[in-house]
Amino acid sequence: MNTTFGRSLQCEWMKTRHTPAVRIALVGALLIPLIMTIAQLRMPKTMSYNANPAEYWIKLYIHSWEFMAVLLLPFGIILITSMLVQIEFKNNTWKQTLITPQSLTSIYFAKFVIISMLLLLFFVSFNLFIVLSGIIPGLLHSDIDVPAHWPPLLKITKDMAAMWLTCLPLLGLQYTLSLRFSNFIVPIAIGLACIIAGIFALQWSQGYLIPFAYSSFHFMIMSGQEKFQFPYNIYWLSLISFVVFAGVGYLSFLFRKYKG
Amino acid sequence: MYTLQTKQLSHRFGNGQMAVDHINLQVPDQSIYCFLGPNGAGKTTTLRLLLGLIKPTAGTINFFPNHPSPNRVALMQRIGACIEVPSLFHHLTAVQNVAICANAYRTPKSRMDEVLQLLGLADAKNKKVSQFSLGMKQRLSIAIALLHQPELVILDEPTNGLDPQGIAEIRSTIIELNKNEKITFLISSHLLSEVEKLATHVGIIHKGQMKFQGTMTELYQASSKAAKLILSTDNDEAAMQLIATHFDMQPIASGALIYSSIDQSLSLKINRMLHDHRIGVSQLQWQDNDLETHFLRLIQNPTL
Ligand SMILES: Nc1ncnc2c1ncn2[C@@H]1O[C@H](COP(=O)(O)OP(=O)(O)OP(=O)(O)O)[C@@H](O)[C@H]1O
Ligand SMILES: [Mg+2]
Repeated sequence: MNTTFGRSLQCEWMKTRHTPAVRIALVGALLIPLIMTIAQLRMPKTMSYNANPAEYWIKLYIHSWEFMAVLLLPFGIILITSMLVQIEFKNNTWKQTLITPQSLTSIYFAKFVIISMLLLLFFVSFNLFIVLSGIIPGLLHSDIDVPAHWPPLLKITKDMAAMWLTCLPLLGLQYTLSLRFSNFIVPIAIGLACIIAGIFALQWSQGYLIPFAYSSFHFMIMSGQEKFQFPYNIYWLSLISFVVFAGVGYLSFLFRKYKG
Repeated sequence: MYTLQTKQLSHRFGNGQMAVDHINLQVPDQSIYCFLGPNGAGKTTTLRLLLGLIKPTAGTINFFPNHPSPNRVALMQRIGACIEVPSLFHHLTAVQNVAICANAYRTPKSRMDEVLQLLGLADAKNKKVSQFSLGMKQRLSIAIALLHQPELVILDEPTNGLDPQGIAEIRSTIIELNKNEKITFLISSHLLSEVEKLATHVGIIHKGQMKFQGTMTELYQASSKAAKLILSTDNDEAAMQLIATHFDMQPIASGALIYSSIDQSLSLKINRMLHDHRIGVSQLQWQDNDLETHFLRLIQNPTL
């Protein structure tokens, strides 16, 4: 990594660190595991480890991800991406950012890396909280045992790497739109439309044509509920559509007429 | 030599308006160049063009022609600027804002406190910018522009929002930095009174066009040349004839001895000549020989 880019990354992180974005990511990751913990404490007979020890971890993991993958996660991506890019518009700081000795390329990718790292932070903390939500009920409730075996960490890690990949198209599009429109309503509205399109695509045998459905399709694959056989691998499609969206964003950032 | 030179720099906005119209800016080394013009003259647009925030429709920009920078990143290291403030992160404190720039410019940490001190923000440095007054934001923006000890500092109406004491402070800071650290300043303003106290060189822009460019002394000279002379004598008729034959000058109003656009040095000669011809001069008065009037003349007269 060249040092200029390292500096740009540091600058972007300094801007991001004190925004609510980091907190939103962590609270967002906490929400479902918290609900799952309470549900187990309330209904130990049907929900807890003791109800089905053999499949406990995989069920907890899949249940937790169910709401997350289809709705909350895409929504969070839209929110956080728009918010972080909006910082520059809202504070009128594009001009200040762009007159510092950093190349446009550096600035563009540094911001993007920070946002995708936040996504990664979210994944890691969400899975960590899921694991905790599997252990804590056993510690708090006398009728519930602490699970005797480890969660399937290898599967979780692989699933998450793939999940991150399938989120990139939405992230790329959202990043491009947020940079393009100073009014944050526009990217958020388009992003929401994309989420809805993604939900419809889940019922469609040609659903692979909608890049915003890839994370949901990936969830189906990782939870063993695969419905369609697509002619193309959605992970490759994720990568390709991300490169297209982000590429358009990069070019429009480079050639933007009015820079601040 | 020049620190900055533009040739025929122009910018036309999407709506077809020529906001900057063939400007040949010449900012000499170690000068305090004031860019003066009324609201909407095109000052900010010109400064944006210089900093590459918008693209010129025509013309060239040449920074440091003696020892140019190889690329934009290297160039920006040598320039500090604040354009139409506030351009600050409101969710961060003053010192956090400065730290981001210090990081981008690779300035040592010690320098951060130095500029905050210099702009009188040492006590407020841990306050969030959202709690700053306009004047404090302005000071912080100037602090950031000076942070990396640039060779050229570009400030867009730096005294905007400052109290009279603040204006005087910033002014003396600028003059000091110009003298002691040989920093060249390009400063836009719409206040002539401010420019008079600060500038070594001045460029007057109106409706995107450069109406005057030169040293402050040259501006004074031009203004006195364009002044009006009012005479009262005991024989106006004869005086008018004499002035017409000797100095080839016609009064601008019939009947009264009022002459315009003449060199102030002529008054002595006219007076002497009338005296020699035994015409009594009861009044000899200059009017509109001040900068203010000259400035208005420059931006109001379409032919200039
Ligand atoms: N983004 C824009 N799109 C279209 N026209 C613009 C834009 N920005 C500025 N203008 C026009 O360009 C002209 C010059 O504007 P500019 O902001 O450069 O003036 P200024 O000299 O800085 O004025 P002020 O003293 O008020 O700051 C104005 O007539 C303005 O209406
Ligand atoms: Mg302006």
